[in-house]
Amino acid sequence: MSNQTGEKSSIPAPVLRENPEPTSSNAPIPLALTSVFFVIIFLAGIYLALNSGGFRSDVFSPKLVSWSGGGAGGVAAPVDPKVVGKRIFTQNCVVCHQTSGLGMPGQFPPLVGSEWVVGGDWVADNHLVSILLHGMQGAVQVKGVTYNNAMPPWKQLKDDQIAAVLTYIRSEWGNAAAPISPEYVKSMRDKTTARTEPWSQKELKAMPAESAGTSAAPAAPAPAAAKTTPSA
Amino acid sequence: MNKLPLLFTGILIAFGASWLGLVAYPVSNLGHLQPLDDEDTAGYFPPSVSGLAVAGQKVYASAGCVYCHSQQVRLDPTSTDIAKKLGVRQTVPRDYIREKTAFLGKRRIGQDLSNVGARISDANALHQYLYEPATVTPWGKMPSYRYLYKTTKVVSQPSADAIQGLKGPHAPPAGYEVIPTEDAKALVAYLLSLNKNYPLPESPEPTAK
Amino acid sequence: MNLPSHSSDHEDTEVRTLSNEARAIIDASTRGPVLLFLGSSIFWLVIGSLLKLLADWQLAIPALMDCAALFTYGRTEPAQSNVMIYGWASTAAFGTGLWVTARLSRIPLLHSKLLISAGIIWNLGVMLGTAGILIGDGNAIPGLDFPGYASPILLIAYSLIATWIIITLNYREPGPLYVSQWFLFAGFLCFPWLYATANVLLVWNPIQASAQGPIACWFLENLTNLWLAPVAIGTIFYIVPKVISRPIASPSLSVLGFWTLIVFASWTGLSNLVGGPVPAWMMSAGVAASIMAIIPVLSIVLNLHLTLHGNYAAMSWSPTLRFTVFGLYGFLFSGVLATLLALPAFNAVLQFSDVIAGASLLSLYGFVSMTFFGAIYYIVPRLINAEWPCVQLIRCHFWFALSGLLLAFSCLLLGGLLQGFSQYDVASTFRSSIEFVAPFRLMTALSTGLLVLAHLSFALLFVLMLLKTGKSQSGPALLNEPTENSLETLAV
Repeated sequence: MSNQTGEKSSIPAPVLRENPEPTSSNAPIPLALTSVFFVIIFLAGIYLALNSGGFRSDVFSPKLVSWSGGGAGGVAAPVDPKVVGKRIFTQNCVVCHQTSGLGMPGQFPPLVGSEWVVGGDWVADNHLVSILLHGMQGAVQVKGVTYNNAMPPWKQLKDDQIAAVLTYIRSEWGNAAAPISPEYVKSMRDKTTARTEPWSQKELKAMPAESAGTSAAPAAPAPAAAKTTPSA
Repeated sequence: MNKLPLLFTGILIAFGASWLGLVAYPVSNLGHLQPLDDEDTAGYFPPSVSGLAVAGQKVYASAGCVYCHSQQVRLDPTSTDIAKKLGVRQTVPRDYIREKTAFLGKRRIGQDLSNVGARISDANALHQYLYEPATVTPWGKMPSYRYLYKTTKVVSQPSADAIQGLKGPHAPPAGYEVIPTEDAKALVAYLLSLNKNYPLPESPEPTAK
Repeated sequence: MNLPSHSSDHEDTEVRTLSNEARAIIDASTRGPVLLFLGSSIFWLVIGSLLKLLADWQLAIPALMDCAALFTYGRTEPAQSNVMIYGWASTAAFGTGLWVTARLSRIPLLHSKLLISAGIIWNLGVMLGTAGILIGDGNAIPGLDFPGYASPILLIAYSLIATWIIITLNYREPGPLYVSQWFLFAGFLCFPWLYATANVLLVWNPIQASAQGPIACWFLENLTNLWLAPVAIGTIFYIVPKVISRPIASPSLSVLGFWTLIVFASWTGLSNLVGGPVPAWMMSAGVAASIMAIIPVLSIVLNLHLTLHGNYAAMSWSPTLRFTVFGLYGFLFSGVLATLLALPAFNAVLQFSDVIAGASLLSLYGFVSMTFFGAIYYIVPRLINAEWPCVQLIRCHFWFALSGLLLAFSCLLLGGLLQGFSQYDVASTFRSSIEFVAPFRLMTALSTGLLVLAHLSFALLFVLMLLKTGKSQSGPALLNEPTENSLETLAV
């Protein structure tokens, strides 16, 4: 350390014993390390590609949308009709038909195992939809028991809501019948627009039986279905 | 790596990429969400909240509730939040548009509060809990918030606001009652409004049982 | 600026070295501001540890001081964490960053008196912010709790500090930029961008709450990854080769470590919101980035390990090296833990448990704080021209800090694991998760007491140092006898 004697006292002792400033040598990166790093980047990239939910801003579950896309309209995750149907049933129908679907003896008919719901000798899909749209009045036989009450019309519900609640009651409590599609409800609504009074059993019997035909399975997303698109 | 401008540009691009992806993208895609119409009740999802509940958000922030309580229900089945009944579905950004600050939380020292309004509907029970949590849940770690309440002498008739059923060491002596301040009422109103069980299309309820 | 030069007797003449006279002049120019920053950081360290002690005890015993709103846990906890981040760590980062920048730029710090004003303003901002949290104006955003009237003060102080750093870098002596300078530059560049963005979008004029989650997580994570960590890493890259007099082992690893840190670590924030209300791709990007963030951690630690190889013995006598190398390995462990915790399998169980608190303790304390302790032990003797007066206090500081950290971390980890698994298990109640973790929280509170003792020893040592009670000492304060007796080994 070549300092003049006069300056020595002004330089702090800790500085005097310091080593030279740091430098770098010239060693290259070990190759093994580089390959490890590439493997890590590759794996992380694969994770991202498989779990990105299509890079959409409205998908919040990584597995919901496959890498190839899918999910039409503005919404990637269509709502299960049975879930919607259950909600509508709970909000509107349990008052009379009860959560258990057993109704009230003597007052409200059951839906469990009812031929009106799952189909019987002469009851078919069109009768069920008509009941929902316009209601029923007068004496009704359900599973051999007569009920004499009034069911209000529900035509203020939308097509997909009626379809959902019918699909729900047709697959709940041990019932097993084909689901109803919103298109079919719409077609029945159009056919019966003139109707203002609730149906009586006699009038319904006079309607020839019709099946709803093929309809989309409840859980699979229907590609062209007018499902619950946000109205915002 | 020896030129300062080059270093500057490199850092700008690298950090700028994360700024674009994690700041600009949320602001443009998640920052202007609208509530959806509720076809059944002519209301909105999420439902609008009362002014008292909005005031309660400030009390929630001021008391630092977010440091013990989270407010997010996570995905099913990766996490068991839904199986543990913290909510019926995953919470999504649209659920938070009625809040001023998103109180997502980082720790669950206390229970998740996203749907506390669905679990509890009695305001008196909540007031009692805030006043003397150690009496209601002795094993819990929640401190008492009795600073949000006033103990006053009963004047002729007990007040309609007075908290019922207080039993702990800070229960009012005979002839006194505990009245919630405006802050306490606002906080309880806010907590009671926390209910995210309405349906949203972007967050389907898990159906696998 | 013609400083007396010194012919280098170092083999690598790529970089001109600095003579002792030059160093002394540079140090004299930085003395005022750096001592102010380092001194006030130690003050806030003590305040923050005391608040942390209160908060941790309140977690173990909820009835502690719950009579007044001022000390409710919901306020002491954010007060503690914000004081530690802005009052201790950031202030120490300023002090260390200014000194290392001045040394590496090889010019004295210009207009250093104005930096003293910046330091005073910064401290006032922290004081106002902490008071604001305690009286209830906190924002309830982790890491960003200082009320909206305190954060502009911090930004103003910061802009003064950053301006002078950039000017110093600009007027530096021509020559290659050393790796520390890249890291310091990155840290000082990113902090105002982070802080201003987060404050504008979340505090001063908040955007809709639906978008706030990702931004808050981006901010909190990058406060460590892109502000405190780069400054701490830059400091380690300066101190370690300086003290042991060896060159950095691999410049390519330095480059790799630097760029991968900036690119990957900036995206890791979203891994804290996996399963939460953010788009799926952002969650996965956070997880992917956290996996890739192991690369800068490994590069930097390996690089420094290869540099230190064969010289670890110096840790036994040099306080600087001891703390700094512990800081380096704290970086390794906190980085590995962060990567593991981001994996969805672990995340689902541990996201809201005490393990996360343990991970952030390891990162903020085991890495950043340890590094800045080492830096302070190196820098202050050079500014005051005195040696550390009492080796016993250094030993107290080190052993209390290490034992407090290890005890707190293991309790948070173990308790958090139990808590997390209990919270995850559908058959288990929430009550049992609290009961499992309760004894561990008590132990954590005790370990915070150890940390308080460590910091009080450190503060006392600093005060004694300022009073120059060590002036009479002839050699550096060494923790043990050095194994060799060369001049090189005493360069601590």
